[in-house]
Amino acid sequence: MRLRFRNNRDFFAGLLFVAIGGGACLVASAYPLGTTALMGPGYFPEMVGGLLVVFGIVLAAKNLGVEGEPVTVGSPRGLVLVTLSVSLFGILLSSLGLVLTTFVSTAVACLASAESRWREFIGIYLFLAVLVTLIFVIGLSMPIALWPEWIKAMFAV
Amino acid sequence: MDKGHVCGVAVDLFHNIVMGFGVTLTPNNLLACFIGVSLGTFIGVLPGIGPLATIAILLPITYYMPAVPSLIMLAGVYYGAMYGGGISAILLNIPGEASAAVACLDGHEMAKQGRAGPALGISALSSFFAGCVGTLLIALFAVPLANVALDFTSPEYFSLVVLGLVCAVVLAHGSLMKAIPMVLIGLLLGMVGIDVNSGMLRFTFGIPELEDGLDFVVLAMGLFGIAEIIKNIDSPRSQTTHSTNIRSLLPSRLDFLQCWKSVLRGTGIGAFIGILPGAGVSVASFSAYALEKKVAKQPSRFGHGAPEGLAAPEAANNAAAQTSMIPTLTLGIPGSATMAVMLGAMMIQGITPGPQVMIKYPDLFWGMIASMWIGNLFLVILNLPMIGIWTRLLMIPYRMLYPAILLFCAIGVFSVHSNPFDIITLALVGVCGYVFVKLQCEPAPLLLGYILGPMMEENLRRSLLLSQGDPMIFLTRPISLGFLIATAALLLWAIVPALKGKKERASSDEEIQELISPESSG
Repeated sequence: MRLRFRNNRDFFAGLLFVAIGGGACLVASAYPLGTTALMGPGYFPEMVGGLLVVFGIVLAAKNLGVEGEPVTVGSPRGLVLVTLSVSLFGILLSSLGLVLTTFVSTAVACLASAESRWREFIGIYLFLAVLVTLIFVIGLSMPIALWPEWIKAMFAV
Repeated sequence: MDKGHVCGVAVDLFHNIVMGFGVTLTPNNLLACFIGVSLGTFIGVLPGIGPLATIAILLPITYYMPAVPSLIMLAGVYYGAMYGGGISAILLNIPGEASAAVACLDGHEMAKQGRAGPALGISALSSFFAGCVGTLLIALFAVPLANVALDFTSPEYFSLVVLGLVCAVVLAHGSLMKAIPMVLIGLLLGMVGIDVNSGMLRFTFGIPELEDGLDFVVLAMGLFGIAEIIKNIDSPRSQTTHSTNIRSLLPSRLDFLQCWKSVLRGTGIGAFIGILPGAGVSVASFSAYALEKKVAKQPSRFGHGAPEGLAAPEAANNAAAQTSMIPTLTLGIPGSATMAVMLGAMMIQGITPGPQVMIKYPDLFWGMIASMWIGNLFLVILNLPMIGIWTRLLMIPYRMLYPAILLFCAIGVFSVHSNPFDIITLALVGVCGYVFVKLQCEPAPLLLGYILGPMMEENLRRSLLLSQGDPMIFLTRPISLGFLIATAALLLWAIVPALKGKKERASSDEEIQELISPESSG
C-alpha cells in the first residue's frame, strides 16, 4: 500500500519550516526579550524562529503549484510498526523485564518488513536476547531487570 | 622562526607522540581500538547502517567507560568504516558506506575481471598510507592551531561557529534553501531546557525530563538510526550477490607502479577536504576520482577496472576521516554530523571541547592520535586475512539486521537515564527524521545546529554584553572579521550560480549528486 501527496516536497518542507518557526516565535514571545546589549532568554529563539519562518515562506511560495515528484510513503506499515516497536519497548520495560520486552519489541519490529519470516524471528530473538543480556546486564552492569516481578515470584520459593 | 625554535617544536612533538603511544599501548586501550576498528569494518561492510548511527548507538555504552578508551573506540569505528565500505563496494557493487560509492566504479569492475583480491589489497594499502599521513597531519597541525585558538574570545568564537555552520551547509550536497532552515531548527532544539544566563526554562512545556534539554543521544539515534531503518524498510534495496574467488590479495607490481601517484594525490585531496566543515568523506573520495580521471593519460580506462580509480578514492576517504578530527579536537567545531556525535561523546565524559582540550587532557589527545595510527595498522594486518569472514557477513539480509539495530537503540537510550520517556522520545524523533528524509531535508545540519547552538547563543550574548549592544564588535576585531568575510564569500559562491539560473559548480559535483543518496551522513 502506498500513499501519495500532491504538491512537491519543497512546498511541504516550506510549510513545515513556517510551522516550526512560527511555533517557536509564539512560545518565545512569552519569555523576556531583553535588549540587544542584555539579551533575554527570548531574544535568540525569536530571531531564529523568525528567520525560519522567512525561509519557510520563501520556499513554499517558490513551490506553490509547482509540479514535482510527489511525496510517497512506500510502506506505512513499516513506519507505524517501527515506531510502535520502539515505543512498546519503552512502555513495557519496567513491567515486563528485559527478556519479555525484547520478545514483544522484536516481534513488532519484524512485522514491519514484508520480507520477514517467523522462523527467522525466533532465531533473531534468541540471539538478541542472549547478546543484549551479555553486553548490557552482565558486561556493563546496567540496572535493568531481566524478568518481571511476577515471574520471579513464581520461581522463588 | 629560528633553528632553536624549530628544534624545540620538533622535540615537543616527538615527546608528545611518544607519550601518546605510551597511553595507547595498554591492554585496555588496545582492546578498545581493536573493537572499534573491527566494529567499524563490520558496519562499513554492511549497507543499511553506517558509522554515524553506530557511534550514536555506542554513546550510552561510553557512559560506562573512561574517556580515553571510549574515544579511541569511537574513532576506530569511524575510519574502520572507510575500510569496510570499500570491501562491499568491490565485492558486491554495493557501497556499505556512502563514500565508498565511487569505489564501486572501478573496484567492482576489477572484481568482475577476476581481480577482486588485488582490488581489496589496493584498497587496504591505499587506505593505510592515507591513514598514516592523516595521523601525521593531525599531530603536526594540532598544536599551532590550538595555540591560535586559545586567544579567541567571544566574538571570534561566534564568528567561527557561524563560519563552521555556513561551511557545513554550503559544502554539503543538498539544497541550501533547505539546509539553512535545518540548522535553524537544530539551533532551536538546542535551546530546549534551562537558559544558562537567566535560569529560565525554555520550550519545556512543563515536561520535567526536558529541563536538561533534549537528550543528545536520543536526537542522534532517532535521526540517524531509527529514521534510517524506517527509510530502508520503505524503499528496500536489492542485494545482488556476485561470488568471487579470492586467491591472492596482493596487488601486482604493475598495480604499484600505476597507483602510487594516485594514492599520493588522493591522500592530499582527502586531507585537505577533510578539514573543511561540511565537505565530508564522500566529497573527498569523489573529488579524488574526478581528479584522477582528469590527469589520466587514458581516461577511458576509468569505469572499466582502472586501479587508480580505486586507489585514489580509498586513500582520500581515509585521509579525510582522519583530518576531519582536527577541527573537532582542536577547536571544538565539528565539521560533520559524525564529528558532532564524537563531540557529544566527549561531553558525556565531562570534557568541554575546544582548544584547551590539548592542554587539560594531553594524554587523551595524543593517545587518540597514536591510536589512529595503530588502528590503521590493525585494519591492514587483520582485515585482509579476514576478508572471507566479512564476505560471509555481507550475506546477512537487512530484514534480520534492523531488529537488532532497533533494539540496541532502544536499550542504549534507556540506559542513559533509565527513563521510558527517553525511548518514546526516540520513537518520535525517528518519525520526524523520516519526515525529513521524505521531504529531502538533510538531518546532518540539524545535528550540527543543535550542538553548536548553545555555543553560538552564549558567545553572541557575551559579545554584545562586552560591546554594550554594539554589533560592530564582530567586525572591528580582525580574526572575527576574517571569519565573517569568509562566511560571506562562501554564501556568495553558493548563491550566485543559483541566481544565474544554473549550477556552476565543478562537474565532479554533478557526478556526486547523481551517484550518492541525499543522506550520506558522515
